[in-house]
Amino acid sequence: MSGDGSDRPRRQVGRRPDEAPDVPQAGLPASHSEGVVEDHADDPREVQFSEIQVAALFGVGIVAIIFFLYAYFGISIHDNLGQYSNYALGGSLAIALCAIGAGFIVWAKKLLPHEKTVQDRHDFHSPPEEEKLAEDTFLQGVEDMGLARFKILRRTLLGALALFPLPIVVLLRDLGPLPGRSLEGDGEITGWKAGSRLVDLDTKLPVKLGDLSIGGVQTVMPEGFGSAEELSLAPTMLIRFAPGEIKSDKERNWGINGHVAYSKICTHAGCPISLYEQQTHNLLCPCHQSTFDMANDAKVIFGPAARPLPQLQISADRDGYLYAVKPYSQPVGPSFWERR
Amino acid sequence: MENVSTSALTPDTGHRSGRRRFAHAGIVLLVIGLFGFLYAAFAPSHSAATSSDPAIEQGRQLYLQGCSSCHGLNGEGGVTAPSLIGVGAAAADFQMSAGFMPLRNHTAEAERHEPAYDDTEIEQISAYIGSLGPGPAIPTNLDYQSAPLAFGGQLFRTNCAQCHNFAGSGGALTYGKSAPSLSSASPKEIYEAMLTGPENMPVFGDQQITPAQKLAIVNYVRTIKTSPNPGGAGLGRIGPVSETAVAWLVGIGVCVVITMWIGSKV
Amino acid sequence: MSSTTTDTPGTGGSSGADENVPAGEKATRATLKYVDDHFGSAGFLKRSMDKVFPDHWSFMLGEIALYSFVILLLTGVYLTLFFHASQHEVIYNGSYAPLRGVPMTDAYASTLHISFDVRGGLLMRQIHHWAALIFTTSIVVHMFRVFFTGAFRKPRTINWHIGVILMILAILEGFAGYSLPDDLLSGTGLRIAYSVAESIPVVGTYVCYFLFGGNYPGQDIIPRLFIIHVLLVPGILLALIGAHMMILWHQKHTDFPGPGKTENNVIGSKFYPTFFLKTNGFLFMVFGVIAALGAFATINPVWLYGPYSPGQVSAGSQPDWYILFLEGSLRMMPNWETHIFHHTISWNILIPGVIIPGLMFNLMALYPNIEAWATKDKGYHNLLDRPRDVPVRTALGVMSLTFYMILVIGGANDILATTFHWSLQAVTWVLRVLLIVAPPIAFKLTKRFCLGLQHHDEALLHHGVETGIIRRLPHGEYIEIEAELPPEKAEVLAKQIGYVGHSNGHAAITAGTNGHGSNGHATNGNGSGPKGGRLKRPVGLAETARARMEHFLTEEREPVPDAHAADHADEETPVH
Repeated sequence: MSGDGSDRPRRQVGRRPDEAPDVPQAGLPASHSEGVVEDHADDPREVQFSEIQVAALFGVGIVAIIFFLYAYFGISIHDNLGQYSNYALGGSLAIALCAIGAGFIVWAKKLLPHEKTVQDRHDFHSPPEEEKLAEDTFLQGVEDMGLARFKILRRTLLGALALFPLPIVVLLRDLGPLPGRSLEGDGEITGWKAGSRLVDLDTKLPVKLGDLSIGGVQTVMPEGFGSAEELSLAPTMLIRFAPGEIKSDKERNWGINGHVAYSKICTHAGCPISLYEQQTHNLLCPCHQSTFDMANDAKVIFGPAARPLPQLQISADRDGYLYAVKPYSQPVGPSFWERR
Repeated sequence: MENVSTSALTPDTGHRSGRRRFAHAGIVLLVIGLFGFLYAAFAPSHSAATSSDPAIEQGRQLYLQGCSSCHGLNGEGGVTAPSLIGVGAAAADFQMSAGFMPLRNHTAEAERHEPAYDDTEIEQISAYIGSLGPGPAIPTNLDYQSAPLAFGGQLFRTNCAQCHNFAGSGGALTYGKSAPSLSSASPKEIYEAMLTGPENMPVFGDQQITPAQKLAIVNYVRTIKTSPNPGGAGLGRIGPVSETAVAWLVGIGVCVVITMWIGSKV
Repeated sequence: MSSTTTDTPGTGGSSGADENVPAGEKATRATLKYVDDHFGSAGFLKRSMDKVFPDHWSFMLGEIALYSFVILLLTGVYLTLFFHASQHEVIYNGSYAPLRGVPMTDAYASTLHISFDVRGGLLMRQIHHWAALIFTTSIVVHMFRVFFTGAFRKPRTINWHIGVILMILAILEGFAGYSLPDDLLSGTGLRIAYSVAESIPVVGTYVCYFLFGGNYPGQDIIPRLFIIHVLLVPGILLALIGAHMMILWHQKHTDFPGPGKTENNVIGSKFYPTFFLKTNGFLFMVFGVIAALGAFATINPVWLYGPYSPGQVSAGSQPDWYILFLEGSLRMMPNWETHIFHHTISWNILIPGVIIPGLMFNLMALYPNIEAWATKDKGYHNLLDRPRDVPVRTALGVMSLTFYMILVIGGANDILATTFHWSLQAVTWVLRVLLIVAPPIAFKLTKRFCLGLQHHDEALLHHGVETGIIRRLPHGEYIEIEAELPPEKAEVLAKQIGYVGHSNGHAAITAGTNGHGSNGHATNGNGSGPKGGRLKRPVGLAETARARMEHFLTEEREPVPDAHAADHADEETPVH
């Protein structure tokens, strides 16, 4: 706690003149490194070296910026998918910015005085009389406006203010259609109708009985779909089992010759699932890992999904083309409030 | 979408010759298989099928030495191993050339190793297993580079990405199983895997994804596997998780180090 | 115009130039005078330049967030010049061959165009996305610092609230931006967001239909997210960041206890020129680090993800990290669903997707108020706590962090499973158990650890530093020589662990500084002056609850060698 620190130059700024200087300036333990005002770099050679350091950093910045300009015009964006261009542009930009930034910091650290300045904090609250004055003024305003006296005025004002948000809310009405019963309807929203043929998602070709190998899985859509974006609840998985693998009678009866169709849209959060394991018949959702047993009515065996995947009843016509016997018998996809 | 898809890829337009070749090969194999089957039926049960084809006979010898302890003397399968009758030469070729078989140890699923056999031996064993029953033959047309790339990508995202991830980096399946990365898979292996559905992978038969479409998928996989990452290090191409690690460890880490430098005395 | 009080040598060896260059100086003076003539700004300018900022590296974490926000604005404006916020279907015909001829939305096609056909476009995209990750990350890191040092206490509680809102907005902003390219991954994310909204009882489907303009995905969500992402949320962010900074500026920064530091002063460098140079340098360097990431580390390679299609999905579908906790809570949730009166309540989405984040953010926002209420701490706090000196708060923080971290890890359970060849289901189960078990353990351990460190400090204070010199006393006993702490260190330490009050008559401000040990001290209405008297004394249940919570939050100091401590403190106080 020596006194040798007290005579170091130190400044007080921001002090209001009427306040007592209660900061224990003299007691500032200057021998502690944090309290010291270090007049640095007195050695002119050191100063010069520091200046060169900073200048070198800024110089690097200049060179890097020039290289950036060269790279923009000189390096093709089509070479190697644009990788060279990205490296050159980004690398030179990064070097330029880091060098300039480091220049600033070295400048501040080496060439500016290392001084510790003490500044007072002001009180956060106003003096009590000032606070009271403000409160009184505000309340006086309330009094002057007569909010307490003019009852009808007050009530109509409240009424008007209460109603005011309504136009804003009403204006939002046309953001979208009302859901109505569309989501819970008889599968209409999925695009699957009685008799819809199953077509491949990518080739849009109808699927025939036997096209799919045993242990295979295929993503199908109702025939005539425009794009998957228009029918986001339509994607359906066609799975083919070997004879005897299907454990559930209902599942077998709703399929044909080991072919069964299930909605591809997870009943949990709506991700399209088709991580199908042909030996275990497990189906995994890549989003939240709900696992379904596809050989047993798509029952949930793990994960957050609460309901089995809906099955689409399918059959084959005379030419062997698979079609939906009827639409999905329950809403497809994640749960929602109106769902029964 | 339609103009892309219908141009060259539907089963009834493009690559007829390929399919016909395949059909021929199938018939030949069927005949061979039937022959083998009949022979096996009439031969004494303890002795394995023999064939006039020396390759098949060579393969049978290798099979008896290396595979029969699990898969049975005649490929009929055992307690721990599936029957190989009817799996086809393609399946055998895939399992051995990708190094999944012979199995080193019993885990939830086979692990990939260096192939235990050389190409000729694999060819011979595959020929033998192909002779056990009708099944998919080893693909012969692997001219994937001219197959439509973008359509292959679409098929890949519909049929493959859900397990193997968007860039073929692999992904988790249920209870310890996983879909492997496709980085080290050769075009032939990719093709054969689709054709035969090894382990838990679904089978993508030629009626579902035609040979031409398979080649398109192979082309897409090989293209993205060999294409550079234009934005710098690929970070394993597994999506935002590795980006998270980089943001926290490198991004904010370096920034914090800089704050320490700025805050330090020297 | 340089500071009138400067008594330091000229900078950079060019001091000789000052005399003979009046032209520049004249112009500067003229400009400043011109501005002052119009705004009367000289006083403000002087005060601002003299503003003192304490030096501690951890006080610059918020600046990382500020500067990455600047970078986001700059690169974001550039990207809007090329991006088409439209879900109109186009056939891609750009230079990335693996997608040529594929139908996709205009939004995705224009993102590909930026990536492959605009020079520097990919770099700007990547810098923008990395900056977004650094922005959110630094906000969280900054919050750690503020929380664990107690910087949120009065008078900075409102600024903490603004900070929490900023964090939530940053997450929303990030999610909106992540969704804009309409690639397969972001589309999957949007699908999940739609399902989460759909799960809200009564209004869920309406919210979804209004937000998306119909059933998912519709044609409207990308344009709407775009305007939310580039105008609405950034506008609010900008305004709130302005408020955040102005409050900071007005209230002055907190500081750690140290020699000469009191509740009533700030010790550090002045804003101008020292801090000004440093902080500008830091802006450049943060930009440089993010540019380096953008140059050398791929982020969001949308060309590999492919365009969005409701029928396609990729393994390992994850969101950016700041949504990962939500993904994790969705993944770990058991499959509860209630069917009641022809209605469905999907707890399996509602709890992890709506209720848990709602609780987390609300608790986080209200923690300062809860702590102040429970401990009756009405005092002003400008000096920071060390985490160890407030064991329960620190332990609560670590507990919450543990909970959060497990949620984040849960969001990557499939990546963990593939990377380490674990069973996905087993990983999920372990994490489910950990989510319940680990936070309390983390609480206990952290508290213990803090108390241990406190004891260590007390030992230092009372017994000094062990020198390692063993001496044999005349009667044969061996002792280790202990050196007393240097007095100023001892003083700071004593202040930190709550032994020494401040002798300079500002009890109002120091009350309660030293954690909860000095509670009774803080309650006697000395904190907030006029407001103190107006507080209702809680009675009955509320008071009981409060007292319980206070009991929980405050840790009785374990007995220490009293006499020695008192002596020591007495020795130290005069120094102050």
